[in-house]
Amino acid sequence: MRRALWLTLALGALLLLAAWLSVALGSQQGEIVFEGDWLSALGQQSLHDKVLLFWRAPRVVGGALVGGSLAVAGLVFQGLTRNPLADPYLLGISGGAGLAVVLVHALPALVAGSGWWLVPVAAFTGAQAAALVVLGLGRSAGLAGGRLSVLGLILAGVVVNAFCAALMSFLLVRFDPFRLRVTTLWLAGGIGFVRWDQLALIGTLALVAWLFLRLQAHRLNAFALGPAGAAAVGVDAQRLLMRAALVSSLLTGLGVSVGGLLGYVGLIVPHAVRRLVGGDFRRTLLLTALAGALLVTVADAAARLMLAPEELPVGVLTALLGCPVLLGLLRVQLRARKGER
Amino acid sequence: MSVLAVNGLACGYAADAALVRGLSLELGAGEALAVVGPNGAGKTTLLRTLCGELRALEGTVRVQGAEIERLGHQQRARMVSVLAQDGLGDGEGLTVRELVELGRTPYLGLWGRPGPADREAVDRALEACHLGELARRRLDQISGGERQRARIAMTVAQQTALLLLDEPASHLDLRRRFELFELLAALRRERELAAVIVLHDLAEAYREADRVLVLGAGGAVEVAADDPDRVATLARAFEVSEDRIRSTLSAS
Repeated sequence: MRRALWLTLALGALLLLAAWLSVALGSQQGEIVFEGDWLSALGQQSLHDKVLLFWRAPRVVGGALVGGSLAVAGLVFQGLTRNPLADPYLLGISGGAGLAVVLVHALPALVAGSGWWLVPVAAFTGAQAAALVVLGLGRSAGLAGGRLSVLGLILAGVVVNAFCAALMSFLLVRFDPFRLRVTTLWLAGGIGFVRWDQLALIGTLALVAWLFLRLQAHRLNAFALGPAGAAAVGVDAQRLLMRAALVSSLLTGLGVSVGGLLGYVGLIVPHAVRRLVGGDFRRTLLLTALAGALLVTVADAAARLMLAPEELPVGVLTALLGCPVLLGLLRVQLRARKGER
Repeated sequence: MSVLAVNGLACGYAADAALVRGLSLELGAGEALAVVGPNGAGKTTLLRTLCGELRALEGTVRVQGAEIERLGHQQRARMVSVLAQDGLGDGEGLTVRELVELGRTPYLGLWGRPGPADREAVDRALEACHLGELARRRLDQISGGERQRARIAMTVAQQTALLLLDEPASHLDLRRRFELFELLAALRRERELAAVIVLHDLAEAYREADRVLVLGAGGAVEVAADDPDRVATLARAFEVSEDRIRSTLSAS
């Protein structure tokens, strides 16, 4: 318990430090290119201040939100399926969110006609739709009275992912070169331009989602016994499974709307946190949110600064970090399987 | 008042194909009822109905006077604890103590923080199941018998009046089986737990339980050890010769 407290404080302090450094560091040249009309209309402030306040600071906050949301979503999916490999990407939920956003960008008239909230709402809707399909498929694939089977869930995720990827490729072919580049960068996991009002919406929703999960933490713990075992200790397992999965896909949708298909955060962070403090959701939920935020904040700063003024999508860095972790986890799982036989 | 009162119960997965029909019985504190019967006779289905997980097709199940179907999940888990048959591998990565703490889930408040009463219940459950020294060990680092004891400790921490066990000894060797049944007998005595235990072994059922319920012999019937028709009823239920039943019963 004490260890978790110290880790929380340390991670919180590191996150603040990383965020401050990330706002303070960097060149202005690369960023001004994307500057919209509204930026110059702001008047009095110097260009430098504007860049910090309306370009870099929201980007840093957005990165932290993306990291926290995706990491927590991964943590919950792994707990529900009792599989350390389950994350929003594996289950096809990010794919659904990504597809919805690409769809919105494919219809410029739609973007022009509506507000800044369109992209987050689309991503969230896409994530929910994918989650419903995956959970529905997983449910019908599961045996014994409509219960969710883990294998069915993950197979359904593979199918949904493949479908979304195919549709996205289809849509992207018709994009003009500029939009194609912007969208591809975003899809590769790039936190580009975020507005404060977007962040307010996303942040509020993420906080509510996190709070819901925190209040269910002790019941989520019971899923270590499987859905039937959880029911035996008084958890309405089927209902909680559905709700927690939907809330986690909301978090995924929020993450994707800002950070694109930023992979492996939901895999690396929960794994590391569980190693440090064990699997108790009452401890891991806050730590995972903080650690996810820290990881993406640092990775985004690195992606921005490494090849400045050119930018690397953050997803490239998290994938470089995440792939070895995934391989290691796979090896452990396969070995355990072998041992069972 | 009896701990478990079953009245005119029919259970199964479809109304026209009830596995058990017209079952009525009462079970008092400290009493153990064994349930035996051939595969598919509805033993597990009966347990799932007794704990309220499955709705009864007809009749009622009352635990400590309360109708189980009308209770919420959390309330039910404070009255009935269940040890499922195939859960020995569950709780991967947990320590023994963490597993036992899960038994307190139905008692935790909004933020899920355990209070002094919860910690005490866990300590006592560990002690009652002789797990004090193993409390910090991980479940995958202990033997099958110890793991089964840890699972029982979890149900003890749940502090229910009724315990339902589905073939609790099926993965254990002879010595572990004896130890397990000794533990269950002690728990029933000291904590006045009523227990319903599904068993495969007929001799074990008559040795370890106060009463035996036989499924599959044209309904559910209780067959006492001194019942003159015992062998004939069991032979009919299991569809084997009376000689085979006799030799099975006398094997121990």
